Amino acid sequence: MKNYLIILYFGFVFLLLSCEKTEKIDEYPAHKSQLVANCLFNEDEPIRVSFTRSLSPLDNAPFRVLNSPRAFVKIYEDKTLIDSFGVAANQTFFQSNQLLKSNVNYKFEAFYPGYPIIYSNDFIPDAIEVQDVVTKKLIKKNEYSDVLSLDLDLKFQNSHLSNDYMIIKMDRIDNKDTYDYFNYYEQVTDIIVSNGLFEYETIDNTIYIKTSGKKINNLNLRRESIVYNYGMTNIKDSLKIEVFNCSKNTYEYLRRLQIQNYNIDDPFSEPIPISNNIINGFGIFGGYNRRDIYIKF
Amino acid sequence: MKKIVFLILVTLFYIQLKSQNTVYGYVQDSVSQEKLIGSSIKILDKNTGTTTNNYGYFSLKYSTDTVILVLTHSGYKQTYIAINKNTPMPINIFVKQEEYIMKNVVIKSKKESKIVDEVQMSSVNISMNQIKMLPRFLGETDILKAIQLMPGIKGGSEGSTGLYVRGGGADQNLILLDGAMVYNPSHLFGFFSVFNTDAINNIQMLKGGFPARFGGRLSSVLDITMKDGHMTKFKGEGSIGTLASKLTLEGPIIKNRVSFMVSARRTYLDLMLQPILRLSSGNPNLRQGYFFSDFNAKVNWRLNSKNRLYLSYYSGIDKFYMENKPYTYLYDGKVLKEQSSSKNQWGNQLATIKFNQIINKNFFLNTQVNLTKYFYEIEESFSNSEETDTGVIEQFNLNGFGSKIRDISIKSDAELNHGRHFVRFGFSGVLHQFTPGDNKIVYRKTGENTIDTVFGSGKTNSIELSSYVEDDLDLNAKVKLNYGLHFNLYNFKKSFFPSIQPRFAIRYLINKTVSLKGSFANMVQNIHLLTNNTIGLPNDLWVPATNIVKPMTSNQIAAGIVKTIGKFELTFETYYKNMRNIIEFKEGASFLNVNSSWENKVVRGDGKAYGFEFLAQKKSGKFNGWIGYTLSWVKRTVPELNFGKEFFYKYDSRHDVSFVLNYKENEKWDYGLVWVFRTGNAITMPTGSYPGINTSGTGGTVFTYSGRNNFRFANYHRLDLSVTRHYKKKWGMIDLNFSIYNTYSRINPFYYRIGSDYRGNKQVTRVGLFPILPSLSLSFKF
Repeated sequence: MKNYLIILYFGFVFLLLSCEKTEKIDEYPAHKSQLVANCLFNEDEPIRVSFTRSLSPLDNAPFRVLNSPRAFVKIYEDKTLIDSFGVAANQTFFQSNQLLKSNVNYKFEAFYPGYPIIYSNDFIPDAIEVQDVVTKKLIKKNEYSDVLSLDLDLKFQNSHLSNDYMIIKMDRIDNKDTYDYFNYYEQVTDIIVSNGLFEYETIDNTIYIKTSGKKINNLNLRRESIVYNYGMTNIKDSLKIEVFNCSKNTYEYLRRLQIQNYNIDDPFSEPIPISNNIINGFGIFGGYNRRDIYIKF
Repeated sequence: MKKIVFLILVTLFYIQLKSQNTVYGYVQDSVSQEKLIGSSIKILDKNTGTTTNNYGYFSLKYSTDTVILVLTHSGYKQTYIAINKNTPMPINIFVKQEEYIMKNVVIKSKKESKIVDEVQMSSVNISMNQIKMLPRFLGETDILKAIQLMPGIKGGSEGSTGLYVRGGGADQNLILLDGAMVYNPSHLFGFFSVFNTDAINNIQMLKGGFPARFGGRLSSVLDITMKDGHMTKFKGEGSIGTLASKLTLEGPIIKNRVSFMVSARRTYLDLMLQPILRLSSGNPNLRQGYFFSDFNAKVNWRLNSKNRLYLSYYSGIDKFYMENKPYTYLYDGKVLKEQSSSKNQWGNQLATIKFNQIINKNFFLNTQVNLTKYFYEIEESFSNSEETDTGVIEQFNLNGFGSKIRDISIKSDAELNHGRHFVRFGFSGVLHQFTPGDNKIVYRKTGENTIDTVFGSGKTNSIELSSYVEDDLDLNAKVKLNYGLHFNLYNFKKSFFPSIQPRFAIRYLINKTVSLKGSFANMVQNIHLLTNNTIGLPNDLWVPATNIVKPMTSNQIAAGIVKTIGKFELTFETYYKNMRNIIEFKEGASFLNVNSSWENKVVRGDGKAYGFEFLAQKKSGKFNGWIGYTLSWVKRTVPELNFGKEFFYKYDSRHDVSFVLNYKENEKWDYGLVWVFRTGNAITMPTGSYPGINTSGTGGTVFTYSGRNNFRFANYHRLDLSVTRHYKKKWGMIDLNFSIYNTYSRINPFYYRIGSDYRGNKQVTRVGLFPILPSLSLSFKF
């Protein structure tokens, strides 16, 4: 009987496994390789561009940095050429010596041998200065399972944002002295924007906010964690908050890229096309401004 | 003057009615007294006729003293009955089944087909006998898989019981079991339907031309009626199959007054594999497996000749379980005891009470109360105990998650026979209670405080109130109409969504064998299903329409021609359907872990579907079956998807062919054949890749897409065969069925995957689910 069952079981498993078939798809869409330029630029930092070429998803070759000495990049500030530069000494990117300013339209133009000229334009929005952060920690305490609620009231200096696209990233910094890693488990719920009269989306502890020109003086955020703190009674938390003010191009690119990376192992997620603002090529030329805040509880 | 004219008209109308006689009553099987639904009743040599309703009831006017009724029902002998004005009413008409041995059947006249005569178009007519003769999948006959073989209806992915009707989604089907809504009609990720064919009396499916009495879904109505139970004898049937076994018992509780039917089905792969899994895991305490089961029950009580009461119940469950039985061991000189278990289960529960009344010869009333529940639960628990110097310390932890939808509804439907007018009207009220996601935590330890808490999305309610009125009007000998209005008021929190949905259908009879038909239907759907569209996962979530995600609407127009040639029924239909506010997951959103924030994960858009369908069907004779062909286009436009451009729906399939053939050789042997072909589904595949960048530096790989659903699966085709041997015994009948699913082992794609082979070379892999699957099942009947 046992032998019969083993044969039956393995027969069934074999039957299911035998269903998988590797198929060479001749009609798979052909890919025409294009020049890729990646450049995210910030205020008061030199602009940096890296070049690669796009590949077919079935291409076995790795992505290769392109660094031809014949290639060059031109940056225009409001139609005036401000810099033209080639590959940097480290041979991995092209770097300008010019520092860029906020609220100025920059045009990017690049020539690379074998590819058509690519170009794009974007700007750096004003920084969002955080004037103050009022924090409130609430622990709905049980002896072994707590719901830790962190309320953050971010007060902004410039109450009217010139731009509509904001990204707030919130990372918990573990304090190894206060946590027993063998017993600690945390399940973080989505971050809630409690005064969100605008469109927002939370992806993996990052909030993408479209303010749509609305006046924002402050932002109330709540992060709830379900904490199982066996043998530990004093919950401490440290946070790093990164506040980005982005151009629309940067915002859409980063948001979509993060979603794609987040879902990379999820076979049931819907594919997301990444925004591309490089004419005649692929990639991103996008500006942003950033402020970091560290909070200890 | 106006008053006088009005009085004259009313008097004339009354005189006309008074001069007409009415024949009304029930049509039933001559042996079991099971009601026959959808039987055609016509007056001989006239175009006047009607069909029986869901309770086998009919009512028909005639103006002469004596008439001969011609009664036709698929699988039954054509019956002639002489009626005069002195015949006692209500009448019970008993119809004999066609003999199994075809040579003994004497058909004196050619059967008349109701399909030419009726106004209803876009309907699916398959008898339960035909379904039971089809080749089986792992030994199981399946109603939904049989319906998928009809034109205009697609089955989604390989092996799935999903229904995608005329471009609609899996959530746009109103599936009723004895009038109660079934939210999840499938078991085992959609490979089997919840409907046990032995417990089913009749199915009726509409894919367009919806009469006003139906509402709540955009694309189809599937109305399934359970058996009432044998009124005179105790009977039973059952089967033992590769995957599952089932048993149905029916009989009288009080002969000719009260009958019952109970039916149960369970899979037993888990029981068979238990020892092997224990052996392979090396853990003798382990108990794990999966099963699904169904239980149907019904009581049918004839209170008197005019009143009937029905009680129906259905319960179905799918369950994955894993249990580590308690085991004791020594650790560090201490005696420790541990036990753990986890389960993942989901299922439907339905209960219905129906009360039928013949108020008078012209007026039939059905009132019913329904309870429906669909639930999904996942739970893990762990307990241990430790002997210490101070005593035994016991600890218990439990974590769980659950979601459910629960409906309570009351409904009343009336039928009024008014000569040329056959009016139906009614109302219904539904209270939906949604629980999108609740978490449960329990912690207990000796000498410490207990934690037992539930938190999550909580419950939300919505209310739907509906009423309708429709009229079947015999305008003249050629033209028959069905027109009506369906009113609906939907409330969620402080939002109200009223709608008036017009319905219209027309039939023009060219001659006795040919008719032209047309229809228009406006439909509204107030609840949405969050689903991944690929497999019927149990955590698919029904959610209410809200101010953000508004109710869906559709308009469908259809036109067709019906012709009978001998025993063949030919149907040609063309349709156009548009849909508004249909939901799709946002680009990048995953349907996994959808809970209270679901509104942020979906986007709204529009859809359209159009096409042409052809069906040639033969329902009786040694050879019976059908050939179906669909040519269709299904498109979606969602501003947030595909950069706002129109794209093909995932289940857009240009050509769809089905060929179904049953052959009864003699009283001992039956043969079945099914061949299906359809253009591959649409899928989104990357067309390029390049490295990404983020504010910290590298940003992984970016994939580029030339558009949503830019690629096609390979064409789907499959051949199924079956042979059945019937053994006649003194006590009943034994059938031995051998079926082969996917006879030539075609690997039909379930999904495509980009990966690497063992050398690291990138490749596209087509993954199919089922190669050739032979199965053996034994069924019996007594």
